[in-house]
Amino acid sequence: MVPLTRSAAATARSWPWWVALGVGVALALAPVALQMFSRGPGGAAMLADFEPYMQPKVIQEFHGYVDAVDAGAQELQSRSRFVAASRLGMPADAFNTEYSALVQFEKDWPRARDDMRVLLDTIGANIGNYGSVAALPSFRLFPYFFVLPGLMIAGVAVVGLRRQRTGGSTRSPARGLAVLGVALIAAPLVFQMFSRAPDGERMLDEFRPLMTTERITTVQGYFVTMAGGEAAVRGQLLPALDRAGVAEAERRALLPKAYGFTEVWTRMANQMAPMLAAMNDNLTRYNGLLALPPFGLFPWFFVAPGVFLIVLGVLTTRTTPLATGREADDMPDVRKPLLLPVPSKEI
Amino acid sequence: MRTRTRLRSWPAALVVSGMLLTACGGNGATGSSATEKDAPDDGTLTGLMTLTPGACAGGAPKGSYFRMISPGGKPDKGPFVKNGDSLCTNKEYSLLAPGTDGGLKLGAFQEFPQPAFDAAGNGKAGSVLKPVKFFGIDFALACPKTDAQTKAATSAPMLKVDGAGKVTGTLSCWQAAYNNAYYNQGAPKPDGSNPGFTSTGVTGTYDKASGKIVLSWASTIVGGAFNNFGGSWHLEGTLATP
Repeated sequence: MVPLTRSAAATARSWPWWVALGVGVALALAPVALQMFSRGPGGAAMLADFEPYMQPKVIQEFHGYVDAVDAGAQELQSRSRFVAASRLGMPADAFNTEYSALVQFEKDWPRARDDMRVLLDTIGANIGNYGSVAALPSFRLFPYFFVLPGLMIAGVAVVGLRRQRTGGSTRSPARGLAVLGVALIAAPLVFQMFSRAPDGERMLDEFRPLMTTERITTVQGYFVTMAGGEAAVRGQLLPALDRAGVAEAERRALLPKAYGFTEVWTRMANQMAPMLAAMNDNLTRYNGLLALPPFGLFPWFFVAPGVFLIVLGVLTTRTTPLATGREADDMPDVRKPLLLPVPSKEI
Repeated sequence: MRTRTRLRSWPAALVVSGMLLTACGGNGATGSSATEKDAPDDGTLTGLMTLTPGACAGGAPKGSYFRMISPGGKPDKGPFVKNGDSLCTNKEYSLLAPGTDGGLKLGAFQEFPQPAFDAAGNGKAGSVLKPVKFFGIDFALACPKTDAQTKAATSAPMLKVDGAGKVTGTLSCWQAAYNNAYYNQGAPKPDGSNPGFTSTGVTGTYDKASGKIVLSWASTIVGGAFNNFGGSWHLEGTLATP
């Protein structure tokens, strides 16, 4: 039998290690290519800024504010002219001129109300999705979930290659590859990424219509609309009634919902303006997350290389067919031929 | 060796020189008093700019006032937001009145009080200007050393006047506190930038004989609930003459 030299065997079996090295380097560099070192912390900051508003109680409260403004708007539309005519002696035409800010509010409010309800409904509908994303490990750590295993895989691959070249045993690094592969497969399962990541993807997708400069500017305009209406009631209409001798109790009885609007306004502005600020100030971060591959794919970014590593680990431990058609096992001693003629038991 | 010693000592020399220059007339946060000199040789104005309160009697506003510019608007043409609480017939104008300090201290900072807001989100600062009612909530002004919105260092108000009485300067510290949030309204911004319609600086006029000074500038809000809105500011007042 022809002795097989060490160099011939090494050449034949080195490719799994090189592939493993490539997988490791690719994983380690992926966060750089995908700008995860900025987008990950950005996403974490965005989630933190959104947290106060991703609560059912808060969204319900905000809906309550919109309802209070709406009730006031409807009452003003149906009763303010009657009140002005009966208590101030002001005909409707004069009212429309004198209270032009109120007229503008009545005109703009229905669209503002409907759009704000859509906005709040969209946020409310994604509270569960937000919870799923927030339950994942911090986005700040996100890049390191790629870098650390990548470096470990690359390190094991380098050890495997070196041992192979020096004739040492490659069983340990091969096992290391397989263990890393199992860990990569296990990670998404442990963190429930298969359910949580698609939830995050849904949330990002459903927030698309909300998270634009144009939409935020439009909502800013709604606050100006509401503020104009509230100021017209609080600063103009109610003082006019007061000057006309209408006592506060009667004013409240005449326009109870309009009073409610003015009384809720400051709280509404205090609480909802910061939400608008959070949306505006996170536009860049949100777009950074959108620029990443779809969240639903992320579990597979771990599972696929994990499976691949296990296969590579197995391949490195198995004898590989050589050009001569023979198979070679590990080479404990390079000075010895790898295959020796074995005496047949039958002889 | 001699060369090395010289090289090592030049930073220290610079520091000492800077300290001496500052001590001899630097324009630091404490500022020099108005009586020292209001218009030194280089035209730098110092002291207290006592603000003239705004008024709308007769239609056109006079004195000190502010207009809020809508997103996409221009400082001279608007569109402007109508402040429902304005005392003017034209509710685009919000009138300004001097605060407890009497107005703006040139070359010095005027900080926000702590806390800067009350429970309803009204701004409480009242040293430069009296808080102004704006849609049911008071906005207050200050000129803090550190921008409360961006945490960037600002510079104290710095104005210079040329021989023709034209005033130019910087006012990066000008900041509004409104509804529990801060909005830089300076020109330029603390980092020296001029986003949106933010002016490169403040401009105006100064009549040395009467001490009358007029300043105007515009500043875009960057970030927060009022992102891309902005302010068009017009301050009138007097600066004590030497």
